[in-house]
Amino acid sequence: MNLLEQIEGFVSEHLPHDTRGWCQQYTRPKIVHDALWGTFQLEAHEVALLDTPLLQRLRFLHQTGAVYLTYPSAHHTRFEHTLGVVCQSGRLCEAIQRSTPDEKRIDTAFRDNVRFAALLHDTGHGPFSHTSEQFYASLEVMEAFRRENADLEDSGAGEILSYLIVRSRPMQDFIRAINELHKRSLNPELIGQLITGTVDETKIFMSEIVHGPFDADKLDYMPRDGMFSGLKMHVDLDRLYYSIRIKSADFQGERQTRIAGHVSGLSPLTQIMFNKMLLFTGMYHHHKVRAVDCMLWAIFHLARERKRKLGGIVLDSPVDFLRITDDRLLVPELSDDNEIVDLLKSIRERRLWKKALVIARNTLPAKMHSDHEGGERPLFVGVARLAGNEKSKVDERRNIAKQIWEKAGKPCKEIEVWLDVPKLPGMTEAKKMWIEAPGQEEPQTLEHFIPVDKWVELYGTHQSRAHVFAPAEACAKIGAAAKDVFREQFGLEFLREATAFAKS
Amino acid sequence: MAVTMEHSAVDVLLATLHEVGRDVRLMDDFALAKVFNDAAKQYGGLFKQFAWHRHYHVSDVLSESLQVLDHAGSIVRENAAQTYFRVSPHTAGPYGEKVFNSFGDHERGLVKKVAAEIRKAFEAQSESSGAN
Repeated sequence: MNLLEQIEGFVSEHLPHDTRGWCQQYTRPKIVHDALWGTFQLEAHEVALLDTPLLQRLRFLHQTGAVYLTYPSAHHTRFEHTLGVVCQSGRLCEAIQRSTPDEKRIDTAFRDNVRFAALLHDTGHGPFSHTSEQFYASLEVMEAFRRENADLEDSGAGEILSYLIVRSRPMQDFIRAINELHKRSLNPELIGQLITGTVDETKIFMSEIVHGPFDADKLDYMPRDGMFSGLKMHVDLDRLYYSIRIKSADFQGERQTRIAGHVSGLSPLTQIMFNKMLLFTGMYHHHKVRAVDCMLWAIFHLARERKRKLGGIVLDSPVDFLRITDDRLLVPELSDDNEIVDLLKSIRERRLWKKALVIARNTLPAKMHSDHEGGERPLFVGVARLAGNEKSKVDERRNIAKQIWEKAGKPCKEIEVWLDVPKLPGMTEAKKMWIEAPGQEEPQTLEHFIPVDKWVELYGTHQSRAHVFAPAEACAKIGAAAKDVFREQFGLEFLREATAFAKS
Repeated sequence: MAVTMEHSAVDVLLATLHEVGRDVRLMDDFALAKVFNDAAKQYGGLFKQFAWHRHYHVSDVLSESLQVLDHAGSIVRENAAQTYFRVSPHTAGPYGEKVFNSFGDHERGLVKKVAAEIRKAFEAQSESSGAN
């Protein structure tokens, strides 16, 4: 079965069989109370979709994966995030309609399709969200699908699955029933394109609400991740909504219509970019978060390699990842492999791997720093280029971890030694967002006003850290061996701090 | 060094910048993205991954690879706003050459062509703005 056929099977199992009967039950809107955005309303046809098993499974996917093992209150899920994105996409529609009253394209059908895209945008997520996504993205079936569908080459693996879910025959039947019974104009093809940002040039501004540089997704996940992790961050969305509008302009030789911000409303955009950096420092690149991610990668790796069960099923294809949720994945009894069971128990009991070696600016002598004059920049040669989720990079890191494990005298299982090299924060939003300034015919992009490239450079210099992780009892031997391997292979020297950090 | 050279986006970019050399001042902007997008369309292969987003004319792969090179000291940012950059000595020197030589004959030919296009685009820009 190809990917589309597998998706059709999955969607069919997660939507009601009597579509018309199901949709007929929903005749009234629903009021939602959200901890972040307060009270807002869903239309009856939106509730009909929300109540399906396809959307309800999002209640069992943590929004920030296993971050709750580091920040105990970060238990928010993809479900409430989805509701938040619907809320914010509705508010974005209202904001651009208010600022561009002559724009006739923002009608009921426009809003309905945008909000439905918001509801469906995360349905392609698997267990522990981006952790499993990064894993199944490198599976051959997904790489082949990307090669054959050039339009979707830039899309994330989860986005592609969401797109296929929306375009599947069972979903088309469901949407047709809603259109007939609720007198709507929902278009599955358009909704899929809104999710992946693959609309034609006449609908860029519409897509930007769901898939753009400052889309409803970002406007929800940043404050939500911050709020539920306890990392305080603020974005003045009211100010943002009063400083955006739809603008048509000649840009880089093309006539385009996009959402543009005004130079007077730069501060909320700056807050968003700054918060994103903060989320990387405090959450996504936190060493405990990275350690659990590596443990989950080890579990996926073993399950795939040995074709053993995880969450009760064998993970043959990306679609199989949609059949397990966070809660099922962590049940040891649903796996038939002893090493996987041990790893699952370690996560459940929070016996996380520790830092055996830290590779960072403050653990390397100054001559190894990238800003040191001359030399071959061993930090780059040895470490920076190992970042990434491509299969070749993963294999290279596994190979180095294996060498470390052997040199250390195999003090633990091979799968328990992991080299982690996080990617730098991607901040290309600033290259994409139009900013209008008085007296300028052609809009400029946000990067002309906020030095994001410089921020990322500083992040890389001062915050970026690679780690070798191992179980606590093996850390001393693995740390010492890792120093030797990096010295022999990459010419790296280390300060005492490189392994001293391992105690924390 | 016993490092296996995988031809990732970072390596392709580094080899290309090695061929561009230190005397041209560059910028991660539309002009650079266009050279790489044209190369993606014309040559595919090594350069396919640098295709830009058809609406935004931005290549996330190009910008993020430049960030890695920046992190590594393989490019050096210049001027007060740090928006321009030049190739660093080790990229222009033996290390860049080693990466460049890790590609096959045909690939090296393509890298040279793209580097020439970059030089053309940015030398013209420098002349028109009076910058050097």
